[in-house]
Amino acid sequence: MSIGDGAIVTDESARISRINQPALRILGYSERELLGRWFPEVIPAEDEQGNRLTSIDRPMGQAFLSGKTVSGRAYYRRKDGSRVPVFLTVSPVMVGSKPIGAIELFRDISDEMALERAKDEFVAIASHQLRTPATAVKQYVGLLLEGYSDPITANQKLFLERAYESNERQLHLVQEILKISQLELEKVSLKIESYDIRDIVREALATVQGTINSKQQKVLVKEPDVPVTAKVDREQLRVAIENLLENASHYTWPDKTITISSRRLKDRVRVVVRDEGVGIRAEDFPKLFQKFSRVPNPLSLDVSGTGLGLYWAAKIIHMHGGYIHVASVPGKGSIFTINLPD
Amino acid sequence: MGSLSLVDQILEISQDYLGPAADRFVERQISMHLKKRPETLTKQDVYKLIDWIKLSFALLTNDTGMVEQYAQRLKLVADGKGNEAISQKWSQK
Repeated sequence: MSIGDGAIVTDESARISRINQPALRILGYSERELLGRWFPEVIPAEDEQGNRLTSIDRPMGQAFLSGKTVSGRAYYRRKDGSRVPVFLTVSPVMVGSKPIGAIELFRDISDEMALERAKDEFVAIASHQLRTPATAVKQYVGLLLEGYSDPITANQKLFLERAYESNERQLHLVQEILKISQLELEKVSLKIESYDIRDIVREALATVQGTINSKQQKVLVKEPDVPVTAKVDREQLRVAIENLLENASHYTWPDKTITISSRRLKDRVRVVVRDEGVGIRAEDFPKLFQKFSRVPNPLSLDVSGTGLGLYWAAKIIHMHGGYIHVASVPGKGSIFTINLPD
Repeated sequence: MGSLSLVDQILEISQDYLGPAADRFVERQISMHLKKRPETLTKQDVYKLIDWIKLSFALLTNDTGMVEQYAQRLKLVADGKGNEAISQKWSQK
């Protein structure tokens, strides 16, 4: 906690029992206006789109449900009605093993978000500008290789082929960065319609089948006989599932099995990708869904990737109102579970 | 009514306050805080659960009386007086 952080203490009835000066300054209230008031009502929390978070979804609800400290971002409404983005950490207050309330620490992250947005815009513009000359390089090297200029020697051909491959990797990377920056700038919108998730799983599988075949891995598809319908963006969900399947294949030894299953639960649809791969250490879990993150493991040196696949998948699933859960045992394999709302 | 399990007694009471969300609410509290299956609940578990249920429920309603009454009825279940707890219905004080 820093000196400028807001702090709010609530009692067992979720009423504000203490509040510090920075919290009052950030929210625009006086102490008298907040003490004793019911926290969820007087300080509503919202998501990025301005939807009010339910009591269960706001970090305090999550902290009470898990019994642990929970951190996250949210938007608070100030007294004057304006919105302020905050990063907050909530912990249940315990007396022995008895929970008696909560303490919430938060800080205004308006400046950080403005900086982040400026960075995303810069990356979007820079990657767009980089793509044009890189595409021209590909075109001209391709022309040389195709023999549209003077004849080339065997050595020159070899060098040009390497230049061509490097250029392709560069273009792929630029394309990925551009895609992510568009996502960050909220330029990606979902086209939601009702689909049978089994079809999307099959499409995703068809796309990555080549990668799986090249490692002589087996694929097991488990699905019910009846449609598993959900309202999703077909294209984006397919890419998210592809990313999980590709990841499973990359970090699984040859001859092992990758299992993908889809099914409907009471209030959600679940897609599970299970591999028999190298697995992930628990301490690496937080890094998994971060941008450009590569988790070291026995196969990571053999895999060329941007470290954006899981980040993209998690973002897309989150945009659907769902989440990805991961479970893993090092040396045994990993299970990535997509949960989509009904 | 005497044949109802502890979790069924809790669910019966929770229906009064949470309606159709009762099952999920209670199930989540049990799995997260006790790491147990609902059918294996003991009276000691119910005592532990009451504090967490109370906190989470207090985030859902501004009605302190309702929160207190819900917790009191659950305490009766933990005390082995489930029938009494179920026969009391939620009433606005």
